[in-house]
Amino acid sequence: MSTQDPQDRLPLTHLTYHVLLALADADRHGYAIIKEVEARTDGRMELETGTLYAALKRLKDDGFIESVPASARPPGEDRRRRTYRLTPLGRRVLRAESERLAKVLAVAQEKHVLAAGRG
Amino acid sequence: MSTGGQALSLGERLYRLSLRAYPADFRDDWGDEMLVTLEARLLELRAAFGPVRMARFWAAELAAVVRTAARLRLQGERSGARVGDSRDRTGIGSSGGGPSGRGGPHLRDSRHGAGRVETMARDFRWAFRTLAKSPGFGFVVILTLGLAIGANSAVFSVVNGVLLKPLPYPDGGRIVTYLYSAPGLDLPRLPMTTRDYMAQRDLVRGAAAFGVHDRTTLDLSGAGDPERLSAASTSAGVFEALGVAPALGRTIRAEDEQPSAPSIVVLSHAFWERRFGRDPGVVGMTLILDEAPRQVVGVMPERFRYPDEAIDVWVPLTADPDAPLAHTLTGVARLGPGVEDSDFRAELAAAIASAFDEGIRARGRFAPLTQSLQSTVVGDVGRALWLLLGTVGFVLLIACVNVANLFLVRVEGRMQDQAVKRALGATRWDVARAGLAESALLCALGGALGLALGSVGLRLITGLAPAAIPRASEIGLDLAVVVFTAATAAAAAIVFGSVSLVRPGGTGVHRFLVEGAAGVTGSRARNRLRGGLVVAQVGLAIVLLVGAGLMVRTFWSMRSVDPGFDPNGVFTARVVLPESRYGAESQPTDFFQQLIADVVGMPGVIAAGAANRLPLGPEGLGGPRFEIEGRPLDPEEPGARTNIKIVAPGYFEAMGIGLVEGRYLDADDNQARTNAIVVNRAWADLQWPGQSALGRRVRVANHMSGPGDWLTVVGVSESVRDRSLAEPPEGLVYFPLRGTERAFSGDPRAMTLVIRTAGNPAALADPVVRRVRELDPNLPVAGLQTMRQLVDDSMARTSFTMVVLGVAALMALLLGAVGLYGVLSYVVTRRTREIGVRIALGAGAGTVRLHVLKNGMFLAAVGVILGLVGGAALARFLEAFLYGVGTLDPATYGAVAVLLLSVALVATWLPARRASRVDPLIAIRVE
Repeated sequence: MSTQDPQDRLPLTHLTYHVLLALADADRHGYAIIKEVEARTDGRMELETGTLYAALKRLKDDGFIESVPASARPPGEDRRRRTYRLTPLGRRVLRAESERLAKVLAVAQEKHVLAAGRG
Repeated sequence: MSTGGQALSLGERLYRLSLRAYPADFRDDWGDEMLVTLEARLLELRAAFGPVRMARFWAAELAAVVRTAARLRLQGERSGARVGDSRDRTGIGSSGGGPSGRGGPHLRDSRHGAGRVETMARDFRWAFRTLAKSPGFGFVVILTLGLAIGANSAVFSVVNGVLLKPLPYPDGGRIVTYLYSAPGLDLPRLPMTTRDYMAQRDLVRGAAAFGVHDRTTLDLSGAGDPERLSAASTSAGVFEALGVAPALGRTIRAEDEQPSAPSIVVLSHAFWERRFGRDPGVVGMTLILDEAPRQVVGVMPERFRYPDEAIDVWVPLTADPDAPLAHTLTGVARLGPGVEDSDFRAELAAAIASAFDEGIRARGRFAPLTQSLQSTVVGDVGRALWLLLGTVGFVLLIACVNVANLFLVRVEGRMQDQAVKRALGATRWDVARAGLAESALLCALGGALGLALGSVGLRLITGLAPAAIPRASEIGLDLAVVVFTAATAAAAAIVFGSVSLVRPGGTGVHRFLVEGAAGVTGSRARNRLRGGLVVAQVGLAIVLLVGAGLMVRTFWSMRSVDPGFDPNGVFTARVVLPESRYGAESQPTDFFQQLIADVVGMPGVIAAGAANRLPLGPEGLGGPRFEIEGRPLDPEEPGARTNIKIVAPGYFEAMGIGLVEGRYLDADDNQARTNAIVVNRAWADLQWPGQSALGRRVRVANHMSGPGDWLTVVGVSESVRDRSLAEPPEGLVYFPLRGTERAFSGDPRAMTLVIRTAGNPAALADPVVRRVRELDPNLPVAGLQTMRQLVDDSMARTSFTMVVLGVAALMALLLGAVGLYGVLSYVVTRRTREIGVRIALGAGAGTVRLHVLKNGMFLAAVGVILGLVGGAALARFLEAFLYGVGTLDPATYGAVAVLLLSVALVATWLPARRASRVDPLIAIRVE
């Protein structure tokens, strides 16, 4: 692929952003992603299994995430369950989107829509 | 064991199935992982969520599958054109606002390369809007289909659970049951003895495991209420043959069969739950069964209910070579690898050869009899169930015809609209697709309603059905039923959808426009189709009515048959005395005479007696062989047996059994051992045809302990229908309480009180139980019911079949009438202008009415004739259920024809009257 510029991939959908965010600090399997998103949104975002995996397939096809090779996984894990992590591209896209959102938030603060210091 | 093996919940199975909606490559890549994640979530949620919340969870999960699957398939179709452009393709969760799709079925999508999925979505949206505009049509279609599909789902669940599902034993197809037959001795089914079993142990090698069992009862006493348990004496091999491990502890082992082995008992899951609240500490406890201690060694799993659903406990069969020979055992075997049924039978034949001497073998022509376990368990219920499924299948057919008719009318009403679309360039397929979408939507909703009604209906059936439905615990709405329902609905959708393809006259767009505008009746071919559908409906209804009519006749024949006793005003209660405390010969006699005397003293009681077996009762029939004085028998040879009953004085009077000659048994026969017996008319006629039986002498032929004393016939009673109301009475010998050796089947300690009262028989329950407890507080009292109930229970299968056929026939009649009425009304409306012109030209109201009536009654008459022929052809399937009426009973057929024609007349009369009241001035203006 010639286009590795993360800016080309913005903006991300709400769903995509949250899934990438869930993988930012740890590699997780599907169930853990659902739990993490749920926890980080105070339960407001409940992912259905089908929704999550359709999104994971898309992110994988786009090269944002990859599955952790079986050898690198802890022993005793269910072999049918894969663990996912961000690719360097995925991390860059996530950072770019976060910066974009930060700018949007800065505008909101400037216009006193949002109190400064939050978010 | 965490994910495999155990039964999945309905939701999980549906979810698995729904994954098929995804493109194959996605499913291969991600399917397993999705299931793992789903399971993890379920584990978490089930603990926290109630049923409503779980239902919402499932709905959201399934909806997500449908949504994302549609997305992925759509992208799959597009990807040919847009490789590499991934922008915004991750927006899966958001609901995209597609093209609005207004204005009916999309005309040119298919040619402009838009995805099939989008086109389909548009078709469905259009169908939904159209239906919302005419809710009446949708309501009728959904309700009709829902009822019919519901009935089918419910009955299919039963058929599936009882007949189709494999037995809950591993590799159940290899399991057979066996016993012997001796056609030479007129014994088509001869249960085996312990001697036979021991011969089999020596000679049978082809079975991986085998064993024998006998049904019995045991009285539980000690702590808690005394209770009568349903038990089986079982040899060790039975559990092994069935291949089921215990849930707790162990099963019966070979060493338990030794006469010297300690007494043990294995509990059924149901009994363990009911009596011990699933206390795992039960293993090792001691139960008092039939007054003797037995140690509990194991509990079987819930699904293990062998030999039948009612089983409470299993005790070891004692293989004692010196025990008296009773032909009571049935065998069960698991065939070894590569062993055929015929090989197994050959080995059993060798066992027969070693157990009987040659002379008897030659006379008896003994042979082993094997049967697959499946057919043994199901018995003859299968036939009734298939009949039931056929019946509701008929109703579904009628419902489909009805709905097809409605669709036809609707399509015709839309013809002009469609002609315009065709003129604007829509292909015939575009127009037809819209019709298919509409029917698919309706059938999906009808199917969903059907599934809901089916689960209600299933509860009704299992509640209403004779308690004798085998494997009742395995019946349930499961995936197979859902698939069955979905397939039914899908088939219906395709049939109705294609109605919109019916276009006699082919491609003439011009003709549609002209015809539509002119508002004439529509083409002759369509009229013929409509008429044909009405004829089909009437015909199918007739077939069901014939079946129901024959069952009603059967029911009444059975009700009016003279059973030989009078069940009205009779109450029964069964009391069994434990042998340990009532072992002496005089004790049971004294106890029952005392009890009967007390009961006779109760207010309202006219007579009271007791018998060890009731007519039509659950104890069944049985008895020894008899030797008639002057006709010697070979005592080693098992021969035709005669049923016996042990009765206490007063039994004949209480049961209302008439006396032909001589006298009844009385208290003196008990006290003085007079060796008196009473025989029934059927046996007297068999043994001494044309002569008096009084004073004749017979004795019991017992091949172990030698013949009994000579017994003298002192009376002949009327015959009683003991086995079933539909079967003629069999020969029967009545013994007094005293003087009955236990060597033959009959035990004077297990008796059922029979009490005739002037008042309400059911009101006797409390005083009788109280009286028994006063005499002996440790005695369980069972079988508290009226004789009327017993008779009604014996007719359960007949009344069940009658009710089901009756309800189905009623539905068919109703649907048929609605169909006839609907079609005629429609024709009258369409022809209002023509009728108006006729009236304007001088046709009288009577003439117009007659014209419409003739039209309708002609269709009905054709349907009735075809239906009667069809009914006659199908009635032979009912033959096994009928009693006292032939399959071609003319009265039934005549009554059914008259009934349907009268209903048809009413259904025709209403539109005919409307036609005759057409105002010509208004009619001509009607478009």
